[in-house]
Amino acid sequence: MSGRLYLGIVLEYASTVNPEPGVRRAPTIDEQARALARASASWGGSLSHHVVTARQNHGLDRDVIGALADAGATGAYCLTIDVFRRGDLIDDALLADVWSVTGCIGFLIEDVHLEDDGSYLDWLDMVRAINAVRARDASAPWRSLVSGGGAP
Amino acid sequence: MGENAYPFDEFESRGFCVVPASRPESLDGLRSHIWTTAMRLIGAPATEADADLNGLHRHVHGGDDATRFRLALTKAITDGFDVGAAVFDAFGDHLSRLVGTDVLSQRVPNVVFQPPGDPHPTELHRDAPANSPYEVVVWLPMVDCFGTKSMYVLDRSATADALQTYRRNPDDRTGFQSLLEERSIQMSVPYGSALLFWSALFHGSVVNDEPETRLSLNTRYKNLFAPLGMKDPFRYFTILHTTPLTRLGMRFQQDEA
Repeated sequence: MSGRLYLGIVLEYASTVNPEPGVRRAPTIDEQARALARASASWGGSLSHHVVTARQNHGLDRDVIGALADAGATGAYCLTIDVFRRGDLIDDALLADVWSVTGCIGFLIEDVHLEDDGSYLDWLDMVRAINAVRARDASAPWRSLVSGGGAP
Repeated sequence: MGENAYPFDEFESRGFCVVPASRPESLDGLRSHIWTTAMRLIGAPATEADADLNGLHRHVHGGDDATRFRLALTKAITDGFDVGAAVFDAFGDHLSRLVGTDVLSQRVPNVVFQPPGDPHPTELHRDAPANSPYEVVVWLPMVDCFGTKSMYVLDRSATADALQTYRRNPDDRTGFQSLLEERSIQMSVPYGSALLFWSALFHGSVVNDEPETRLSLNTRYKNLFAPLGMKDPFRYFTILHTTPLTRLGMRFQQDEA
């Protein structure tokens, strides 16, 4: 049992109806906070009273670092990695800053709970690789290449 | 090309191949885990793997009972055990030749439990483009699978023809069904081997008319740097391997940035 105090990080969905495939309506902030509280308890910790809200596709403000300090949090529990997502890309720099402050991050939807450096670095490698792949896949030179046009 | 080129020539030309485990002891360990877990769930003694698994239908019937068992088995076999890593370990020599050594693995494998006569086989479908066309599907039977107890694929040529037929005449179900019956390939895959197939192939199964249960897994792998499909990689995949060189390169890029 960790006894950690987690700062909850929830996601304000851009649409409340069918926000993603297979989901009929977006969970409310209150529903998300309750789910994060249960997840925190399952790791022997508790959730701070105050939660931070990210906006879907806009990500988190850097204020989250101050919020962690204000709450005295020793962990962060996020609804999903998408709380760090700006457009196509995950804000890996902010993710790294949250890790450096807490050394513990959970992602409820992805069913991931990181609290050792090795696991975190593996996860960060995946985040950075997926960012690179998404950026490449969306680029005009890549689209030209895979559509048979050759490199411009 | 060396003497091992054969199955991969077939994979490229037809979109699939059947390969033996490159580390059979790893596969045996995985099956033992699944077998003993299944018997514990149904409350029966584990006596002999082949007989017990082929006879699961004596304990679990079709319909909701089968669905509950399948979900419980999926949860139980993945609790504290990385099935994706175990499958990759058992077939790693083959899989590395397809996806390389920087690998994403499907987080939770699909378990298929198909008792004799179960009226809910897997309908014809293809994984890509919802999944990336750079993924390989590993279909791994826990018992010998043949005839209707197995699954079918349409090879690359038949998949292309099926798509063309459907696009030209989307309402012609008879014509499509005829093509399916003529061109689908019912796979024979003994325990100890796996069917590796390309995510863009049509595939499915029919009602199991054999007097034995089919228990199989299917799971997917892709290269970490290969193009993505539409599914969220963070929910669907987990990182399985990276090479030391890849890790050095990524740290270098980060430090330089």
